[in-house]
Amino acid sequence: MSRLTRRYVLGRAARLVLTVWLGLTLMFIIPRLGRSSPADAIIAKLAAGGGAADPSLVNAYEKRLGLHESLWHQYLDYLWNAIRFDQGYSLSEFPATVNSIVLEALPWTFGLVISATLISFVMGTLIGAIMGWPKSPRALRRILPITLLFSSLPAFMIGIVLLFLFAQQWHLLPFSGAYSADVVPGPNLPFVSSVVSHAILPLLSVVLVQMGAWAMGMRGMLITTTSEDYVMLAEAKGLRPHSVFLHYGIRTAILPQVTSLGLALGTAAGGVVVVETVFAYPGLGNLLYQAILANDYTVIEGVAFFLILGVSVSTFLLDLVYPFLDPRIDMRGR
Amino acid sequence: MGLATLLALAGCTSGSTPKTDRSSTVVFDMDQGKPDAVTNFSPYGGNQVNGLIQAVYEPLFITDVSTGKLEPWLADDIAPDAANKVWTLKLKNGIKWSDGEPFTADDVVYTVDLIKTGKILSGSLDVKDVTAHAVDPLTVTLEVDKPDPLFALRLFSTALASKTLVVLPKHIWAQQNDVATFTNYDPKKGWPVGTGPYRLASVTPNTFTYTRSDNWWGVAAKFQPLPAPKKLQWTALGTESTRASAMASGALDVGAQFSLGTYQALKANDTKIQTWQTRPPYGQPDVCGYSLDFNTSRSPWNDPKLRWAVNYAIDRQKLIDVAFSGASKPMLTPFPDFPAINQVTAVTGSAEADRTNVGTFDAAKAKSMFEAAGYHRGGSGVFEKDGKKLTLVIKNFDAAPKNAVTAVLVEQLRQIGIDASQDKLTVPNFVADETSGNFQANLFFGSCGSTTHPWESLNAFNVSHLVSKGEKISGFYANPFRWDTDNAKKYSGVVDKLAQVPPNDSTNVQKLVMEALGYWYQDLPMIPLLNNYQINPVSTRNWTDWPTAANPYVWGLYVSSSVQKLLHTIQPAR
Repeated sequence: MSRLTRRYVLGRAARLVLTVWLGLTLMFIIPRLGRSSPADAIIAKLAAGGGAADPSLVNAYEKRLGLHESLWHQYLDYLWNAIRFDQGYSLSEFPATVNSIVLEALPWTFGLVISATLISFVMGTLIGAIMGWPKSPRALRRILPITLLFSSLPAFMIGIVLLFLFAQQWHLLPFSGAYSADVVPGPNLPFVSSVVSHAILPLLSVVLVQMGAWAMGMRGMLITTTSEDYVMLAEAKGLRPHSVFLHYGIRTAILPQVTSLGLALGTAAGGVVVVETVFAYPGLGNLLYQAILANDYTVIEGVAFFLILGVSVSTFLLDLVYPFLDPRIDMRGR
Repeated sequence: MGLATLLALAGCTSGSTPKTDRSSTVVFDMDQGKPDAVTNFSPYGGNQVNGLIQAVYEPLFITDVSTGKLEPWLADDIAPDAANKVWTLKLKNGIKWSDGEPFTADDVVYTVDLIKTGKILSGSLDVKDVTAHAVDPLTVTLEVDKPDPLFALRLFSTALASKTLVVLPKHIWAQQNDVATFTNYDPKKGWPVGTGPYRLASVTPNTFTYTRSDNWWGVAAKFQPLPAPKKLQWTALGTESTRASAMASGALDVGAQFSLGTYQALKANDTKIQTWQTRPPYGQPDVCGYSLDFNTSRSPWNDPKLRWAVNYAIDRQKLIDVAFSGASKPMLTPFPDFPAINQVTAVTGSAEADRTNVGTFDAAKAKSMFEAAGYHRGGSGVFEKDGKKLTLVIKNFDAAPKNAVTAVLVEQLRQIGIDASQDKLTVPNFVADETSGNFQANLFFGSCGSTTHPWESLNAFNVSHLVSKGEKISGFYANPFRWDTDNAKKYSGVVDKLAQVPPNDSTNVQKLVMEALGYWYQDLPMIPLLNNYQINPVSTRNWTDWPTAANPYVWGLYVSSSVQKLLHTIQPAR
C-alpha cells in the first residue's frame, strides 16, 4: 500500500458499488420498457408446437417466477438476489436457475475472451512497438502491417471464412461447440485437446480483428514517446538501443495500453456475442443473445450482472495497480 | 506465437480425440439451433425435441399423416363407447421402462392427472375435461365431460411435436417433492427413464448423445427388432451456414429448417443430399402456411368487402416467385397442404374456393370494390375517404421468410392504392400484439393446427374463444381475428357440430366443412396466401431409407415422436 492511501482505496470501492448498483438498476428497467411480457414468450414457446397457452397456466407460471408482484417489489427482490448471487429461475428455460445457466457459460467466455484478449494484446502491442520504433528493421516495418488487414473486417465474417477453410474444406478443425461429445470432461488429454481444437477458430476470429487496434495504439504512443526529451537524453547518455526501447520507450508507451487491456477484459464478453453465435460457442455472449430473443428477463439480468461486475471490478483493480505501474502516480500526497 | 502453439497442441493431440463412428451414429440438427438448459430433461420441457420424444420416450400411437389413422405403438387400441364419452385405451403387454420397472396403466393415469394440475408446461395438451382411471395394468379408461369423437386425435396425434401425450414413469415422478422444478436428469440414477430403445449417454453444451439400449422391451415382446443406429446425437451447430457446411462435409445427417437457397446450394454440390420432394417446393408441407390475418374488430378492415378487395389485389403467384423463387403453392383455404386434409378439402374447400374465386388476382376488380366502398384515389395515388388515407400496417415476427412475403405483399397493396407498410417485430412483441388485438393485419397463419382433420384449423375462428375488448386471447390460434359477426356465429355452430362427428364419417365431415367454409368465405377474416414447405434435408452418405413424399412411412418432420418409427427403418449406407 506504499503508493495508495486508505481514502483513495475506499473512494474507488464506493465508486465500484455505485457503478454496480446503477448498472443493475438499468438492467432491471431496460427489458421492462418493451411492450411484451415474459408471458408472451411463454405463449410463443407453447404455440411453437401448435398449441395454445391456458391463461391459468401462464398465470401460475408468472406467480411462481414472481412476475405478479409490483415493480418495486420485483426490483427490491432483484437487488437482494443480486447481493446473494441468486438470480432465481430462468423464464425461458424453467426450471433451470439463472446461476446454473450463467455458471455453465461463464468459463467458456472467460477462456475465450481472456485468451483472445491477451493474445491479441501481446501480439498487437509487439507489432505496434516494432512498427513505431524508428530503429526497427525496415523489412519488419513493411511486412508487419499486412497482419493488420483483418482488423477492418467483422469477426463473424472472418469466422465464416475460417469455418469454410479449416472445417469444411480441410477437415482440420471442428465446426462449432466447445468440445466433442466423444470425450469425457475432466483433466485428461482427449478433453483438453478437444477444448483447444474447438477454441481455435473462434479465438482466431477475435484475435485477427482485435490485434490491429492494439498495434495502432501502441505504434502511436511509441512514436510520441520517442520524441520525448528523456528518450533523447537516454540516447545521448549512450544507453544501448534495446535498453532505450524497452525501459524508456515501451515502459511509457504501454501504460495507456494496460488501461485499455483492463477495460477490454471486462467488456470483451459483450464483443464476442456474434462470434459465439457463429460458432455455437456456449459462452455468455451466445446465452445473452438467446435470452434477448426469448425475452428472458432473469437471464438477461444475470448475464448483465456478471458483465457489469466484470467491468467494474477490473476497473477497480486497475485503479489499484496503476500507481505501481506508473511511478508518476502517487496517492500519498493527496 | 500463441496461436501457433494452440494449433500445434490441437494438431499434436487430435489423434487422441475419439472420432464418432458415422456408420453407427446418426447426427440430427437441433431444431431450435441451441439446446434448452443442459440439465432439463423433462419430455415436456425445452429439450423435448432434442432426442427425448424421438428416442427416449415412446408415443402410445404414431400418426400416419397420409391417412390420418393412428398406428399402435405403446398402445394397441383406443376406442370410444357409443356416446363418445368414455374411451378405452389398451396398452401392449411386456413394456418396460429403461430401469426395468413395468409400464402400466397407472403411469398413464398419473401423467394425465399431473398435466391437469398445471405443474408441467404442456400448453398444447388439453386434458382439463379428462378423468383417467386404471381398469387393470393394461387398460385405462379416459372419460371426457362431453361427447368428443375427436378425443383420440387431440391427445395421441404425433403429426406435430408437442401435441401428443408422453407417458411419464410414475415410480420416479411421483417421488419428487416439486414436480414443477424436477429436471428429470441424474446420470448416476440413469435418468431420464423412458421406454424407448435409447438412453441418454452424455451431455455437452452443444450435443446430447443417446446410445442404444440392447435390452429394449420391444425385442422380448416381439414388437420390433432393435433399430440399426447404435448411437444418436442431437447437436447445435450454430448458424445455418455452419449447419450447411457440416452437412456438406458429412458431419450432419439431418438438417432442420434450411432456407431454399441453402438447400439448393447444398444439393448442387452433393448428390447425397435429399429432402421430402425432388422438385420444388422440395420440403414437406408445414402445418402453418402464410396468410393475411385481419383484426376484424377494427375499422375500416372490419368490412368484409374491403378484405375481399385486398384479396383480389394480391397476386399469389408473384408472391411465390419473388419470396420463394417459385418454390411454394398458392393457398386458397384455411388449411395446410396435408394429405389427409386434402382428401376432405379436395371436394369441399376447393369447391368453395373456386366458387368464390378467392385465388383470382384482379386489380381492376379490387379498385372498383374500393371505389364502391366510397374510396377515391387522392393526389398521391392512395385511396382516401373523408380525407383519411386507407392505411394497412402489416405486422410479422422477424423471420427471413415472413419478412420476404410481407415485403412483397406490401408492395402489391401499395400498387393498388393502399397505404400499406410493414412492421417487423420480435416474437414476444408479436405475441403481445396478436393476443391483445393490437394490430390491423398480421402476416401469420392464425388457423394453424390441422394435420389430419379439418376441425382444428376451423376452430381457430370459433367465437367461443372471444374475449372482451382489451383482454388477451389465450394463444395464437384462439380466434386472433376477433371475428364476431352473424356469419361467425353461424360458422362456429357448424364447427361445433363438426366436433361431434366421428372422423371416419367422411360424408358428414365434408358436408359440415363445406357449410362452415360458406360462412367463412363470405366474411374472409383471413386471406390465405401460400403454403409453407419445411426443408429438412437429409444426407444419404452415412444412412439411407429416409422418408420422402414417394415413401412417406413417417412425415418428414424430425421433431415429433414419429421419429421412433424412422429409427427402426433407416439403415447404414453400404
